[in-house]
Amino acid sequence: MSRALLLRVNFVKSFSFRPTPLFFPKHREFSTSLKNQNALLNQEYDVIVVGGGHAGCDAAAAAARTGAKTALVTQRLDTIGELSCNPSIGGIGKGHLVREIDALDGLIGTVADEAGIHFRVLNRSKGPAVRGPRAQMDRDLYKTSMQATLKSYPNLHLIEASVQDLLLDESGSPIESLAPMSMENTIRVSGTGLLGMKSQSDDRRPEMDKMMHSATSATRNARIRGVIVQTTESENQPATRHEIQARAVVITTGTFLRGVLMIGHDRYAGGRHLRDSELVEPPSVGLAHTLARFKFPLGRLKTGTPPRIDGSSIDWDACTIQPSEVPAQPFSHIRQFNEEQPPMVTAGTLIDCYQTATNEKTHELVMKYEHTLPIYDGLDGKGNGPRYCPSLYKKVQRFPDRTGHNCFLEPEGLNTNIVYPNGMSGPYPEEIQLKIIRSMKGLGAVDIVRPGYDVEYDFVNPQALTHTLETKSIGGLFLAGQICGTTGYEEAAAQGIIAGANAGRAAVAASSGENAPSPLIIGRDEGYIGVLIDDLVTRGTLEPYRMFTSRAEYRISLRADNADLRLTRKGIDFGLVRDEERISALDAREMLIGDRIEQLQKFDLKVTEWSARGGNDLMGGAQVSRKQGQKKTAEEILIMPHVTLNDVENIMMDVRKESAETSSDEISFMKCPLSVYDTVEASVKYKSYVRRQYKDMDSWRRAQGLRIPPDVVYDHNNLPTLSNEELEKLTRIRPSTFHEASQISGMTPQSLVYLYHHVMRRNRQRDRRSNEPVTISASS
Amino acid sequence: MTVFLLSCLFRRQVYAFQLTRRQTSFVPRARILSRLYSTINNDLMEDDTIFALSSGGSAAQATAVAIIRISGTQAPAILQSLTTPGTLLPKPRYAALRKLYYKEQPLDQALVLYFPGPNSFTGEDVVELHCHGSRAVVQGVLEAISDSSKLARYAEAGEFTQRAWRNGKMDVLQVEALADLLTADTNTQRLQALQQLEGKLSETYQSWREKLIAGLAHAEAVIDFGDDERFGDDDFEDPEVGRRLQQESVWGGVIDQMQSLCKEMEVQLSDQRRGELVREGVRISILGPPNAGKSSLFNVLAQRDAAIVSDTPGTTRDVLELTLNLGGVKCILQDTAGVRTETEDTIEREGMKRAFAAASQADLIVSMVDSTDYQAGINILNRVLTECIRSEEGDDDNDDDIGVSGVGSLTPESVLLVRNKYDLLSDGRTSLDPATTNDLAGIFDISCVTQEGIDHFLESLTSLVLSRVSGTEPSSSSRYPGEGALITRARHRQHARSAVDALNRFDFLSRQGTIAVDMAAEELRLAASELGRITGAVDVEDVLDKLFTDFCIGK
Repeated sequence: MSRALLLRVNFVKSFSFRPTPLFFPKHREFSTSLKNQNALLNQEYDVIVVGGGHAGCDAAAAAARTGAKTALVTQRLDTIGELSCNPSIGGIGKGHLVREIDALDGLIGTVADEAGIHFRVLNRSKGPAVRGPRAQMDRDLYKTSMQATLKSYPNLHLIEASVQDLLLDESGSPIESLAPMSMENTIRVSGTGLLGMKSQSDDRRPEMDKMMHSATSATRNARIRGVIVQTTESENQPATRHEIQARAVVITTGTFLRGVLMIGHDRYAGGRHLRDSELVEPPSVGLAHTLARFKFPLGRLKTGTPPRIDGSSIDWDACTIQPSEVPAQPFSHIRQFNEEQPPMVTAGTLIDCYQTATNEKTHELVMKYEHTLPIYDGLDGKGNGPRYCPSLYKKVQRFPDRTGHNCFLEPEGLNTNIVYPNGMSGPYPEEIQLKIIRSMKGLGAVDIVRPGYDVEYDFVNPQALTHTLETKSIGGLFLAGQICGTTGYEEAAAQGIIAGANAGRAAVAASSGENAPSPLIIGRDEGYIGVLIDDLVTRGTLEPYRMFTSRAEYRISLRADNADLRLTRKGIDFGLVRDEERISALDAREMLIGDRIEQLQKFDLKVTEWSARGGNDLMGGAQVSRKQGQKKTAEEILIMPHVTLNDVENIMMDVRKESAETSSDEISFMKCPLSVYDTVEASVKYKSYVRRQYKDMDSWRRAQGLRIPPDVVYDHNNLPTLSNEELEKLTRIRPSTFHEASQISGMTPQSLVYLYHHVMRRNRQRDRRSNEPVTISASS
Repeated sequence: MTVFLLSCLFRRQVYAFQLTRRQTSFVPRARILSRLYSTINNDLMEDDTIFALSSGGSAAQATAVAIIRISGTQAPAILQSLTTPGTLLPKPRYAALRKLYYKEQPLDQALVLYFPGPNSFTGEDVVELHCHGSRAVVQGVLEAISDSSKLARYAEAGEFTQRAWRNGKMDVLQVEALADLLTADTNTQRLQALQQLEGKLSETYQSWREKLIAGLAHAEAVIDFGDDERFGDDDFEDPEVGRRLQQESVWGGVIDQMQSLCKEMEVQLSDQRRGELVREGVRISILGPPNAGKSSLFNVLAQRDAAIVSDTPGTTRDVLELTLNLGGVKCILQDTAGVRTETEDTIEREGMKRAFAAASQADLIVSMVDSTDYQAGINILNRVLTECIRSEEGDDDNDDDIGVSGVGSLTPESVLLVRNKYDLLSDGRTSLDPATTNDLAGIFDISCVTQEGIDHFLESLTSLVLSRVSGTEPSSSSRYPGEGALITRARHRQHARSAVDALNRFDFLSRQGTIAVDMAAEELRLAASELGRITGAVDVEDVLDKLFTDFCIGK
């Protein structure tokens, strides 16, 4: 067998699996930092990040980069940077996010480059705008690299403890007193109303409204003060409760909020399983209650992970091989600019992936054992899972005509035999999972190492957040990641960096007594990060939200190749990018790209000559031949879909050589990194689209500026033509701009126009009212 | 009070400043002013109850019946205040006879109707008073209404329709149609407006847009999920074959669907502007050397045709216009200054310049010559016409806004040659030069003095106008000339044209294999948004601002 895998048999023997709510043991070896743990617990921080997943890591690092003294608090320091599900990072849309995070000096991209053992650009045959870099990770490498990065990160401290509750309030009294007080007021007032005469209760209504209002505005004015944590118990130290003070808190608890794990009909509390283990990490219940108490709109989502299988039991020859691309395209802009390959590519320790597929027998089993699947809380027992990353059962059910679905076999690392069968999630009982997976080609004798499972968890409707990811009801409290209803590592990290940066900036300003800083918000026209957050906080989500390129209106401009050109300057301005190397790489790239494009614009040839040298087809065939006498610049030729920058520059070089008066130095182009080359090609090819989109962006920016007053009453009196559904959504979401309103799912353009008129009319009336007193005082 | 007025004035300036800044140079000044105007007036409380004399004529002009419409929350209360205390509101949507009083003096005996919202024209509570149409009655009732409630005020132009639209009683295309219906001069205009009011156009645009979005959805799926399905990743020895296979796997039937959609749209676009001609009127310019008898013909047509609706006000002194109804189609007849080869007179030169301008905007040209000085006249006309037609072509080449203005479709076929003063010819007809008259729409010998040949000329002109608005295809089944024309405004044409252009670029890009799939998808996105603009999905405000100012008070 010709498998180029560098797998060592270091294989964890399958446990005889029995799903029990067996949490991880209290005593562990990973306690090197426990010595100074007490010292860390007693300090004050600018920012506390709760959770060490992808959102947490980039949130903590971003906050620290803004100069904030930051603590990352997590249940287990040794699970920081764990890849809980698939062993890969990037992809279409997702790869764009990683590049953007890297452009803002985030961690996920550089760590993924360190740990990558298989690289591939998806959609490579399609246009540059939709190409998505993707890499497969060695799980251990990723985790250790992430942990090492965080440990040495300036301004950042790691604390192992479990966050039980939030410390809230402005006045210094703990939060517990706030909510009950408002309840008490409500009860008392409505009580008197009920007891009094009918006419009196009418009189009292304004009073009650006032109380209600003060209660709710008290809630709105709550501020975060820190968190209450419980340290983990160890041999010589019992668990203790501590209050850690902080100006801002970022919660990134992933699937841990009231998480319930499921295999078949077995349900047990937990945020996730420890990797390849029957041990379970406990869910966050206290936090969920706190959030519920503050009336955060909570919903329930589910997601699933497939079984892990034993690579040594796979018949690899029966599967189609898919090798890594070499040279690889790294995520990091700096690495790419320096033309440095990821370490595993340089070392030659790459793995191959393989492809197999389900068949009719698989589908038969999937449907036959339908009744053994879990019954969920969400969607009347069906569970509210990601529509675009469906379980095998969902796929078979939705596409009954298909006789097969692709399954990619992805080895999980260099030193493990465990393989991740991508696309095979389905929390059947273990013996059924085995039957299903063994029905597939090449997997006939396969062993399951750990069965797949589903997790159902609480998420906060992200419409409760602003564009900085700060909650609307508690000042200084930020949420990021799966807790906001997304799915995917990249989506989580993207929110993390924005939440962390804003939390850090606000906390630093507050601690030095400055005014609140301008928020870091990425526009929909600036990046996928902007699209993601804008979608979440304005439209909310009804299913786990995943990024796609089709979500971006300005897709042509938002490419993976130009993420640095779009975002790094902004990152510098907001104090998020301080790395000199990154800044000088950007400067150099901008200069090289500008220069290259200028050369293309200056060089021209007759169309006939372009054709003669480059081939008719290459130069656009019939399209060109119509205008033979015309001259075209190299830039105009490059616009044709099949012409590459290489084709054009080769011709340019030939022509210059022939007119050989110039020295050979001037003939050849300055050598420049591939990344420059890619960006030049894409910029030229998309020039006309980008120009048009700039116009669009401009009008969008203007529309975005139109604000909707917060006290608009959305009812049939004011907006008689809007449907109940639209009114309900508007009431719930309270869009602050027309753009936000337009993004609410189900809002028709006509309804928007009616809303626009209502608001304009109101504004005019308000203006008039506010002008009246002026008139009176002036005339008296 | 003075201070209050001053503060209003001040705010006016503020508005003007803001608006001009935001709109900058590309918005015509008139539009800025109209916006300003509507902003200021709406400022006087839009929640007011409004009223206006909605029937024709004016308060100063007696008619048999005058209809006064009141719309808003106060409407029923106002009606009650005009009747004796205790009188009930009429049954909704039933006519009732009521005596109207003001300050205990009888005003009139009127037929009154009450339409509670939202089942009314404006969607608000509406009351209609059908009074006697004398000046005294109308003014008395209007005064009584305005006194009866502080919240009632006289309606602004188009305000009833504006409210109807705002309350969702009509969409943009329907508002446009209503504007057309209210200003219809001819049968054809009326029928076209009614067709649009029924929502037929909205449906077509909507169905186009849906087809586009279906194609777009396919493209998006290929982009975001295609890699899992391994679309077109394979290398082929022959790039042509590979490209074709890729194209099939990527686009499936979408290319064909978009092509047929594009054809469908192009058919509508190549309608010779029939819809716009019906709506705006067919422009006919009388052109010719001085003293050929142009003004005589103009007057003869003006007198003979009973269906002259109005002479357009604001006509420049040198180009006279009048509106004619020819075969049910609105036509605008223009009399222009005489054209000759040389002149020293600056005023005359300016007149000729304007004649040129009118002719190049015209849909049909009646070129007149004096039979007694035939050859000289023909020479001048030839020069003028080639000039007009050439400038027409020149415009087309660098005109980015295709079909925006009322650019006529001037070809030799739109020229009628009329030889006047036929009665003065003693020795019969002058022989015609076939080279000059080859493609012309017709040659007529008339005499404006004896009226000889006028009937024949008018018949031919009418049938030419009819064929212009009926399109090329035989339309025996159509109810009126121009039926089926989808595009009734330049605005529609502009967006539809942009959508077709995008589809044409899509057609090219989608045949380039997977490499251009993102650009092809981009073109579909653009086409869909352009169509959305027609039905009012986007940029609706601009359209409406312009539109509502076209309305008369009370409509």
